[in-house]
Amino acid sequence: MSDAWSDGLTILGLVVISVVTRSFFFLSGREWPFPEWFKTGLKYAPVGALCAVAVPAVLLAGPHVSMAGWGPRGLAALMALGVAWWRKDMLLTIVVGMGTFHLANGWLGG
Amino acid sequence: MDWREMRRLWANEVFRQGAIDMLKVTPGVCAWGLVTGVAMVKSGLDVTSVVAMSILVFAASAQLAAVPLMLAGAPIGVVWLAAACVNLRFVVFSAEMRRYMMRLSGPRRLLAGYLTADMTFALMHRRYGGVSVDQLGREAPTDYFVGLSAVNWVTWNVASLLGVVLADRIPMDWGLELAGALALLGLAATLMNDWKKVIIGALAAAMAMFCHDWPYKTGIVMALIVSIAAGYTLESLAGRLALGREGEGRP
Repeated sequence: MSDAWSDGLTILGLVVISVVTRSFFFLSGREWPFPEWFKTGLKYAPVGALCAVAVPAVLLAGPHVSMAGWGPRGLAALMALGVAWWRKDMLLTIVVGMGTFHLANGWLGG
Repeated sequence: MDWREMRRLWANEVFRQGAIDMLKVTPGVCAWGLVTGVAMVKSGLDVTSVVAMSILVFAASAQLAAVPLMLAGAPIGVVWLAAACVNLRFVVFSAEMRRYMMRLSGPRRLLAGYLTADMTFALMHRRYGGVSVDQLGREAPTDYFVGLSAVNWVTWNVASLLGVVLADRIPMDWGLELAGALALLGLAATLMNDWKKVIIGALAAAMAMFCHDWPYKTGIVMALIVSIAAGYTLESLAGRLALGREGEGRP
């Protein structure tokens, strides 16, 4: 699995997989008979997915995936949530979040 | 896409708004791109493959899942299966994206699939999620999508390639990963425009923390399924409560 040909084939397959998964329900022209609960609940998919991706990525950051020293990261997450909700400005969110993280790290001796 | 269409897009308000909205989350996109580029090179995969993957696969989490397996000499089917698992959340996203994309031809829908990232989807949802079908017909969600994607594709690839080039000079304790994650979290906060979405966000986060050691991000898919089911439950409960209150108000 280390020669150029098989790496090329693997990557080609990854391209197909990444395109097909991301266009899955709009690839074909036919209607999909989604159940009613799914259609209603789908409104909550974006907020659910973003939180599910982001929160572990914030709290479990670092070279070793662990909760150790999560205090500064948790504080940074809360500040980021607050600033983003209040100002809707991503650059400010990142700056305040990272600033909080470094300050808290200093104070808590992280 | 020909020259005339590019000029039409350039003059198009919706396209430009898409580009501007994506530019606003660019710091987060750049941080993720850099981290991905560095991680891919440091894993030991040859640079040609890393560059090809960044540009052609254009899916950070799937790439990062596939690379260690490729290096470990895993069978090709296992590598593909892992990438498919990591990308499962996009299958759910595509159910909503269908509303915006069906006006495009088949090949262009494939291109749209290739260009859809977490940020792109979240911003599409923020602008068009609550918009009726009639309104969608009058607006041009695909123009907005092209605006988002053009900026996202360029910035992500530039950052990722910079990560590849500067891999030895970027210390990972800069907290770049944290910056990228905070940007996603901030985007989530801007979607929380009612109390139900706050509850679902907290629930999804708790679920994802609980399942974070499940293989190939299947924990995220689990959190997504819980979000959809709980969202439906909350909607029905809220509907019943509103109905009850209306009933009480009647003489």
